[in-house]
Amino acid sequence: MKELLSIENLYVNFRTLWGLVKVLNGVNLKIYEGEVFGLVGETGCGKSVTAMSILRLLPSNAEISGKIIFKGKDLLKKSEEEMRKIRGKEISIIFQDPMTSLNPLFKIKEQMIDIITTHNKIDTEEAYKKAKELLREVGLPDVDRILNSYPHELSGGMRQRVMIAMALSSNPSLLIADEPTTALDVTIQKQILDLILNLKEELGFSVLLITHDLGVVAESCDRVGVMYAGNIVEIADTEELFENPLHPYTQGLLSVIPDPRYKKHLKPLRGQVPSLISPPRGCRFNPRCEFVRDSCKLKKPALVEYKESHFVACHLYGGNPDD
Amino acid sequence: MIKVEHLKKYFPITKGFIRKKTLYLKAVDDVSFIINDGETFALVGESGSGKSTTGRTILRLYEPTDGKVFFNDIEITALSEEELKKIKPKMQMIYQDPYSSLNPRMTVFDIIAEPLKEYNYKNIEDRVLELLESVGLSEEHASKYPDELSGGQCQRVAIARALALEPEFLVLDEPTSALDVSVQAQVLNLLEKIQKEKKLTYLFISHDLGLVRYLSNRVGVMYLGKIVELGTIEQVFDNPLHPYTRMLLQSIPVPDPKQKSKRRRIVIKGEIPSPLNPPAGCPFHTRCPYAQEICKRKEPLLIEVKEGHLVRCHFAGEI
Repeated sequence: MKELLSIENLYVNFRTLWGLVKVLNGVNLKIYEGEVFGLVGETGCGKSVTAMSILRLLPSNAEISGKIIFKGKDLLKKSEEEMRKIRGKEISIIFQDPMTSLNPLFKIKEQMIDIITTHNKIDTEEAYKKAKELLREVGLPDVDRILNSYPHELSGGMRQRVMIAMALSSNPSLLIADEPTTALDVTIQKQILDLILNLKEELGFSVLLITHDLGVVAESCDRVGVMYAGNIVEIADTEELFENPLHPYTQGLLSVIPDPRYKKHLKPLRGQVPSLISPPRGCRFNPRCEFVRDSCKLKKPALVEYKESHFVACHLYGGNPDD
Repeated sequence: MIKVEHLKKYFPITKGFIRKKTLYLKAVDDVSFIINDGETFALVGESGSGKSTTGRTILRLYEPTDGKVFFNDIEITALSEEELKKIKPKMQMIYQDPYSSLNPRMTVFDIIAEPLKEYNYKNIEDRVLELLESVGLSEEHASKYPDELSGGQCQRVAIARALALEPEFLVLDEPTSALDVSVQAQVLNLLEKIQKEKKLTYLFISHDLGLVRYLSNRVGVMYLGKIVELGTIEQVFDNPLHPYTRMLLQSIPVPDPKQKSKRRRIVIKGEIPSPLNPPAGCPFHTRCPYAQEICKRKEPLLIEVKEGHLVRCHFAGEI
């Protein structure tokens, strides 16, 4: 497998009136060509900030350090001009709410033609043809009517399909999908996930799928990274992660999701996600961990390869205490 | 305890300016069910299916267009405002978003004390502390404002407020969908605990089939304002008879990666039609893989297929 993206020791802080919010605390992950990598975690764990860092779309009060290597080049060293050529062309993103990512004042055709002509040297007429083709590819019926519609005239599922069509218009190598189905009903969620996976197989791009739903992960990802309070605590193949979760937080997450197939006993994690202005010292999960030891309160555990391609950041598994 | 008979709630929608035309959005269209003492009855469906409107109409937060609701043999739908006020303490509601259902300018103490004052309770202070404890909060939370609390803590305050007047029946309208999974489990376990302790009856409204399976005894599946299938959790989840119930169950992601390739083969068809202009005949025929001619013309009735298992489909038991 060839490496497409590698994030190394990514730190992001936000300067705010209330102090420095330490949002990402040394994130490390790799995404390979043609795979679906899931990033899962609860609200505020830094999943979306990780995505926005890749695209360099963080607000101006952000301090960022580390490396984001995409196709061998560090994105954090690129100029704004160079980044603009990467965004939407090599790396595309779709968001949770397609209503807020489409401009309500313009027809779909205007927005699509705009995107297509920005990244390809073709005229409006050809771009219109390409837009039609793209909409057919994402499974929309009656494409002429849709191209002449405003976003509010379409359903949530159709809007997300339009977003996917726009994101794929320039054949990106990486599609970032940030909670792409959270605003949708379950039947539509399945349609959209299946669509992304089918297109991925056909076109061969990689997907960074950000979600809070472990069901969605099980359904669509090849590998998963679990995030907690700005750290990646575990990375493994999806099947391996569900079968042998190593980190106490991953184990906790898996024991709190209800299963529609049978009534299962839910064993809630105690406490809540910490404040990122004054996060706990050492391992950020230590106040909620049932296996907490003294070393957990002093040193941050490093992400180590405990088993083949199964990484975990926890002192229970070594965690390289001298790092 | 609760009996709902042919409940209807239509919202008028006026269109046009010169030639005014009034359309009716049939949010709840002829819904009937009973909820037994001490059980949890769930209403499940996608957005716009009418499940929340049903919950609110039962509590008369909306006036029903037609139909009757009984609470312990009292016809709620026939009560005057004054009589309704007397019975309201027995029936309470918990909403989805705890931040918007709590007044941001009131302290936790005042929020929980408000219904107690309204109904002239004595020893309010002791009662508030007792309620806080019963939902897993403590005295130190009493002086805080909602924005100083986390989402899970706010939902606990909302539960304490709903319990203040010693209700017998609670409507839980997506009580955990604004919460993260680790906190969601805490709130679910709390709801289960107080149900046992106080012998409460729940109407649980949710779009999440996993939660429904976890919390409920019986379930009604709604589609476009109608109940299409109703039965015990085991009947509906393990032996779904309506094609829509099957579609829903096939759509929810299963937290088991081994099922992945098998589940990829399942194809889900279509989207929910507009409730302003529902299809003729069976409302589900536009998405149904088994639809026949009759489904486009004639609306099926809700019929009992097995004891306590009702289905609204022309081909119930055959497909």
